[in-house]
Amino acid sequence: MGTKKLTRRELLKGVTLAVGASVLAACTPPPTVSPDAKATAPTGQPPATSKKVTLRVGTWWDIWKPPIQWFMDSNPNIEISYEVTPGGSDYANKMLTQIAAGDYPDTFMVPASWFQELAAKNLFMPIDELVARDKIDMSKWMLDQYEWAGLNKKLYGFVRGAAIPMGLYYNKKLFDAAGAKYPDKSWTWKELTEAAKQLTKQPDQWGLIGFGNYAPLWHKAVVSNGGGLFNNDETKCLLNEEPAIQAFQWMVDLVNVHKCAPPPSVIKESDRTAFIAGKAAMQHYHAQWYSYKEMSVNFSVPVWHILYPGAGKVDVNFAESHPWCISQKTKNQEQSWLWVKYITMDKKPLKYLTDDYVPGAYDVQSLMADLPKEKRDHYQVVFDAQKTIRPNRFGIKAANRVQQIVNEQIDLLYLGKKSVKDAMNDAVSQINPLLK
Amino acid sequence: MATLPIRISPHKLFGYYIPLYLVLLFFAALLLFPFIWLMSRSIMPYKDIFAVPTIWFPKTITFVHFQNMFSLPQWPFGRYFMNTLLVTLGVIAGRVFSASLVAFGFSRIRFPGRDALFLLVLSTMMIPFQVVMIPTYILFNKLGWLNTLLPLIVPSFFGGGAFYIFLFRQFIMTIPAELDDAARIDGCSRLGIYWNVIFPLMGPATVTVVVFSFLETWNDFLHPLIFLTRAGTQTLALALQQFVQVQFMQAEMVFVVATVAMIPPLIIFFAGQRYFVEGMIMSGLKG
Repeated sequence: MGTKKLTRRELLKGVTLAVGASVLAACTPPPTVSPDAKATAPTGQPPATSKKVTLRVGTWWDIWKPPIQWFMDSNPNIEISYEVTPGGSDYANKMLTQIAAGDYPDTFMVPASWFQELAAKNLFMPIDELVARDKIDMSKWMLDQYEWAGLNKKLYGFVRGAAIPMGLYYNKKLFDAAGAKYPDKSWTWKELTEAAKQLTKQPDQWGLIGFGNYAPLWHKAVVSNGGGLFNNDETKCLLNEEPAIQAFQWMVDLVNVHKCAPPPSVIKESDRTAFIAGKAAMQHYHAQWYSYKEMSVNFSVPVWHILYPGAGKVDVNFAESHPWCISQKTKNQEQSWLWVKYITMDKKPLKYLTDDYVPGAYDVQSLMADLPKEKRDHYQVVFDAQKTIRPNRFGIKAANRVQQIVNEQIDLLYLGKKSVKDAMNDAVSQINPLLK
Repeated sequence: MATLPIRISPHKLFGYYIPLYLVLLFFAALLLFPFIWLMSRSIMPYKDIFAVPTIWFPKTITFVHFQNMFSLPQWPFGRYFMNTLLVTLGVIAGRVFSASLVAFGFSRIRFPGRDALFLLVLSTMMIPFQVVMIPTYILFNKLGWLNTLLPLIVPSFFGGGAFYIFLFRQFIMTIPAELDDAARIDGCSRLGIYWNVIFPLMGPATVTVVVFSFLETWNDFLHPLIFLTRAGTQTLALALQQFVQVQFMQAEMVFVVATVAMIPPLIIFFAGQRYFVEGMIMSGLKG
């Protein structure tokens, strides 16, 4: 080859320069918030102390930059160190590492499904005294904060957003073409199954996208049929009892017997594109504004959503709403408390986030009054059902493991590898020892 | 090097080569499909991305999404790109020099317990990062390195990892020891032998390590996830995951960001492909 070879000396020089540059860049402190964040009027809350403190705020949902800037503008003695981690298991990895290392944010958003387990380990500061001191009107919350962010009659934070359950979205065009009646609030499994069968036109169209192993869906199926996950004191798992077995049998039969829903391996329960593309007439999905917008407005598919009572024995829906908590170890209690109140109760950040995401749970009627009619109508469906919505939780002792065990067994059911009874007996035999 | 026979009988051509290549083509297409789908969507107008029936190849090509990617005010992808590049270059530099030096020791220097020590080093390959995640986090926290790129770069200067040490060692063992003897007679020190004799002969192994390290570091998600938290410090893999979670409704941007993130590893892989294969099969010294 005619090209000039790089000498080792040149290589060494190059590498030294690259490494030097890397180290210099690596040591550069990063900006804490986006410079584009809008500056706005102060919230009217006084700074908690005169000494400037850095408050570590942790979350997995990177939508808080403008509210953070507004908070700092109105509280010049507080600088927020904004710590964002991707959600789901990534957030779990990061947060559990930080907790184990004793180095976690002053205040952070806690995934609803872990809240009780972590609260039971005394990781969060109780806020009951602060609530009483600041005379917070607890009647203004749409959700009972003690149910959603409390444990053993102690309150550990506030949930910012309303609890958004899974709505049943349906494609009006496909219903009209099949001459089928639209779903309504009186529907139970029976009507849902019949409609799904009627609307299935293989190979092009499924009646319904199945439940997969998505917890809020199977949880609703079990509880609406009179069953439950645990007994009252959470010492025994009840998934191998008749109501739960019937619920799982119904879910699996939709796929394996009636063949009116695709197996999860073909279309996952969370696959919005299949529904949007008209490959299924119905799908359970979060009754969020952005889901509705995506499924309807952006794609010109006429859809609407309802909340139906499942099996019909108990009217229930499951949802998650994630509390903002304060670390038990924080040295900045007042500042953390100021932040929690601001992000969950102040109208300005609540209104900003309501544009696209979950509406706030505090003083919701006043927030709703400012919304356009279509959005108000959409959320009215959800708010009408608030009394039936319960936190989608899996116990205090081993919430994530319990969920994992049930999911594994459900997967085997769809594959036809086990009977429902055997699968649930296996699940219970694994879960019960975890509850001791 | 294996060569094809010059004359192929029709029986062998139709009974063996054509079916074989058809099968290979099928699998190649299967593997390429997601990449082509991703890239085609990144240059499609928004309305075509989820059109029904599906549009497989863009009817109209647009690069506007690429322009938009670098002008998203809340997502400084230019910075994420630079962070990733710095980490990747730093890791490659550290790994090439420290792993090759350690490998030189294991292959050329005789000392008591050498083989046992080498086995011990190899056994660290079986320890997943999750096991050492918490103590490592505590260590870097005490050093004040969290939220800087240092925890991602500096460890590669301390041995570079068992796999890379093994790779270099296997390569060095194929280099005749007589070359070391000749250098020693000429008055070369041990370090001099490493630097003047062994290192220049390790081209294929070095390129293999560079390519492997580039791919591994560029795509690394778990280390940045644990050590980087503050906005602006993230690497591309971490930011991409966050972006997908928050901006999933902006599907066109998700496709564009994923495409851009994929380009550097592709270039590196194709540029170093020859050395990569040579290094992998450890073909030894050429004449």
